[in-house]
Amino acid sequence: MDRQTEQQHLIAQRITYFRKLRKMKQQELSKMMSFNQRQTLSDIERGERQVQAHELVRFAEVLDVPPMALLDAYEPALDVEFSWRTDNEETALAEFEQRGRGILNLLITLRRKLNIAPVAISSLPLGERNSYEDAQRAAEKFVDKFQLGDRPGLVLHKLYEQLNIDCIYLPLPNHISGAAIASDEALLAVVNANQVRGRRNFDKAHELFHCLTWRTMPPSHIDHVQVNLNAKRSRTEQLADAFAGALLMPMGPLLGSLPDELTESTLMQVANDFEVSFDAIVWRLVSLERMSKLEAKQLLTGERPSGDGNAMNLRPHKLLSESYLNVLSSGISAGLISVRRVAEILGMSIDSLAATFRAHNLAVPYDM
Amino acid sequence: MNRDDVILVDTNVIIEAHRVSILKEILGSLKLATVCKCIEETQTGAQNRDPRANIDEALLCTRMHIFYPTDEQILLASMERPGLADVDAGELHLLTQAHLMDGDVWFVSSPDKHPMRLAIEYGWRDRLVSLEAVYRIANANRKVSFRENFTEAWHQRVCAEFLMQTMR
Repeated sequence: MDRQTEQQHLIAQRITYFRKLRKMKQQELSKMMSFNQRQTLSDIERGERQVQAHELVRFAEVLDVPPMALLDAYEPALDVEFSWRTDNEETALAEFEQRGRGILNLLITLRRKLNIAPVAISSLPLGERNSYEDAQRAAEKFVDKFQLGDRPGLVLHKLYEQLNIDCIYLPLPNHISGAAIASDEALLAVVNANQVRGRRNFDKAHELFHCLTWRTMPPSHIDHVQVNLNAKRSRTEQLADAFAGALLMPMGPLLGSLPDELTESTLMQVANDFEVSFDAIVWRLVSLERMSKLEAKQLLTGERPSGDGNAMNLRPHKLLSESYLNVLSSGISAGLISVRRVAEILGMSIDSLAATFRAHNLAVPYDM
Repeated sequence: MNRDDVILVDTNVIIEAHRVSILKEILGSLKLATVCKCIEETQTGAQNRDPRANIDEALLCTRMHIFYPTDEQILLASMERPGLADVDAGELHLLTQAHLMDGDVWFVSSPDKHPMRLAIEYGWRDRLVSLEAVYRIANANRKVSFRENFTEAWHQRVCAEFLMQTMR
């Protein structure tokens, strides 16, 4: 597609998107645009009639958007749904949603410009009527099918790759663990890079469940985690937790690793071995009926060393992901997006973006 | 290109010239120009560099010609030059200025492949210059270690790559 046609299609798509966002019918917008026939707008929205500059300005006025929003492919204009995991009920998420929208749009737009065909995203045939055991069984099946071994937490990124779902790490405020972001064209899991390792892995597994069941079981917009141990969470979120626990700690390998005596100290060692948090292993043992709820609550109320006694658990994860960076690299190298634009969308400096490529052992696609 | 030609430079070029300590030298001997948006981006709050450099804004404003393309000019340029709206703010303003000056003698310097690709598609191949070439025209013989994207070798390689694509 040549640039002129590409631009015409973009303008058409943007006009349609903003019209629908404003809940306007074609007839209504046609009238506001003073088109004599509704067919004119219909032709424009199908990309069959070119929009003149003065018309574009008028469209922007009527649709109440900056005119450049109708021309700029990297300005997000797509329906996106979010599901956040946070332990702060007062969290103002609008700012992060705007950023997340830009980050997902960057991925989708670059893939389109690079002619990377959209891939079929896997799904799980589970709904709210399914039991926790069903969710756990589905997780254990994944462990076998994708040969994740005895310690799946160490290779979760491979599972994401095989399922064609992206997962990136970003430095988010402490009270946000992560999010799942969905649009018609892509699913993206976002994990807070600064959380301790065990919590990151649990979030990664939890968000994977949402990504795989988004259409059949849309997740809560906000999943308030750890606000109150007795607070009732939605069934979808509890199923996601059951899935995550079984995915990270498959029954066989976990039970085979348990010491004779289940104490705080011995369980911390097992948790570190599986790269999960102490809390996660305790609740997994409850679900496997190896521990009572009372015993679990007693264990969880004790003071534990930060990072469950392992300094490695406290190290932030490298940012973004190899697959996301590969798309960025191709886009920058092909001259489809400027480095400064990428850095701005991601909210990082040009130099920390370069450092991120290096952290993943990828060639930096620029030296500036 | 000669010493009297106007050379439009982007934010990255100004920051690199400052980093390798040639900014004053080239400002003193060539007609460098830029846009207000790029001047804003060279300042610490909007540099997007780590660590940030302290670049003398007064020096830039007194020794460079600064253009102020209007929103309307930017919109019209973006309509006439498909793809232009996708670049970052500084490059958008700079390439709009280049578009407005089409027909005059000017050159443009950027180390980023995106604006370079667009410039070549717009038929401006002969107007693209590297910072290294700009420095040579300033009659400076000092050996300077530019980052790769500012070198003449990188510039020629990228121009050839995009020229081939445009011809296909």
